[in-house]
Amino acid sequence: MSRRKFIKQSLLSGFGLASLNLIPFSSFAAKKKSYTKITILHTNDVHSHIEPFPDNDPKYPGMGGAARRAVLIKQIRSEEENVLLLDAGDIFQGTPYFNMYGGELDFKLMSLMQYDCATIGNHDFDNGIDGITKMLPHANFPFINANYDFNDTILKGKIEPYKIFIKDGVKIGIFGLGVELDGLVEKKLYKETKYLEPVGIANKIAEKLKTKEQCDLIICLSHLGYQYKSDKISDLKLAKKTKNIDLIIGGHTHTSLEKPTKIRNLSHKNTLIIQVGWAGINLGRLDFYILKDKNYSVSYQNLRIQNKSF
Amino acid sequence: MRINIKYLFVFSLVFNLIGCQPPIYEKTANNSIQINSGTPESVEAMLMIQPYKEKLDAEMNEVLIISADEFPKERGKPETKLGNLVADLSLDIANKIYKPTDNQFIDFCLLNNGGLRTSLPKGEITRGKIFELMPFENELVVVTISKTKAIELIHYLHKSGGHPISGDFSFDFKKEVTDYKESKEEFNKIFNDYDIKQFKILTSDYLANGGDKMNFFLNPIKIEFVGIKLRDAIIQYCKEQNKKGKQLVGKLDGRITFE
Repeated sequence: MSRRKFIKQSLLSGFGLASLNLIPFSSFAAKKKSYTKITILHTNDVHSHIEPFPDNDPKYPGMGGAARRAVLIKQIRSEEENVLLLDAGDIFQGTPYFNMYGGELDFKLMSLMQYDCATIGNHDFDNGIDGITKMLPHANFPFINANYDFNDTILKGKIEPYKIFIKDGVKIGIFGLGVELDGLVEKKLYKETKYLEPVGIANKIAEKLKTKEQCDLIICLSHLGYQYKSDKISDLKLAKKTKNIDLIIGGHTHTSLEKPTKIRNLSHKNTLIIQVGWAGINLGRLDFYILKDKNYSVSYQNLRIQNKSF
Repeated sequence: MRINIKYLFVFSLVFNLIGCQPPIYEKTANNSIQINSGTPESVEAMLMIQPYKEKLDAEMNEVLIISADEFPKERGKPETKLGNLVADLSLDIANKIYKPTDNQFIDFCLLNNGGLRTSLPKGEITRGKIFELMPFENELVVVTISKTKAIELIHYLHKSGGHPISGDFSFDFKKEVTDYKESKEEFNKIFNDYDIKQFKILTSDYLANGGDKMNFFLNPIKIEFVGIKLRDAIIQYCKEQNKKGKQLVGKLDGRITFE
């Protein structure tokens, strides 16, 4: 993307970076095509919120809504060349749309918005493992998870641990992690799905994506949850105990982060964690500006989808 | 079609992650912009939603009752209007259905904050809103537990900072969580003084199966299905109250306090 387009779009979108970006980027932005911009859009815990909250909702009046999110995503796609749209799980359960249609419309809308991939949350098991399997044909995007063993279930062979995307020459490896199901989901729903300890798996896969697959960016789509008072594994702990992961896109705890949490990881590099609340009220946007030497800068926005003025 | 979108750029910053250096520039911006848009995709999404919505609305827009109060879903509070409402009404409805075979009636209802999934607004409460509040197909169950398990329950309630309970019991907890052994001795004495041998707790089958780590419900003396889903109990209560000309009124009565 040319610099001119970048600046123009910054001004247009009220991005607030037009002047700001000149500081960190002045050294390279002047050269043509000296960086590649990768735009990551993300949601989590949408919980079947197809329609916006009603205007009389005590907490989220008029917020969210899939048709509005679709417009926003379309707008960003028209401005950016390299967009990845990701969901960190718990797509299902929360409105009568799920009770009546079992997630069919959710998957169809996500397909329409061109989601690139999603991971599986605990509530995605709410109609059982059969419920997920039945809905998969309505999704034109893959589901990824690396720490649920589905080998003895109907989902065997249908969920991949990771996916690799190549955008403008940048190789991006994305893998999925899910929360421990025992105590959260009834056994009769998840059946023979086995939860595997995520830290070791995350390190193994990130290492593989880095060295064997030669990925430039490694993203973890996590439904582990941002943090807990207990010693339960969380995104914060995962970031500290792993290396090679650039970004953790989280879910489960419905945490709304205004900016990425930056964690010093096992190899003393930065791992960022982001999460955008729930119910499709916000769309997160993280832009990587990747230099020739593969180092990068990042900008982040937590975009609120709302139908009335503040 | 015209769709107004307003979205807020809550945050905008630039990190520099080159090497391990700290960010050289970070800034928070607070700009909002408005897009008026009728792009084909949004219309496409609306068209996709429409047939599903029509069928759903026909069923879900039924107004069950008027609420005089807001019942916000709140985290980290020992009791909430929402939790009190649902726990009280569950006990009310269950007592109408549940006929004990041993002459022991339900002591109290315990639910979990996480299971109540949305806030109730002031004004019209529709069937759809109750589905949002309680989307799960959980059944009401009566679990008979030993007094040892009941002490575990109370300890759990203390440690977790509170969950919805019905108002015929109240708990005044100390701020700091007492040692389990200490509470055990204390409560054993109270239970012995009152000759209490077991408790009957109304809850959902999800929690009775150890959901939310309520492990004190596991391996109980007895578990009995009331024969109604929690959601249907809420719907039935709303309809009954509405028929009597009543509205939903919020109540906080200090049933769980931390001094």
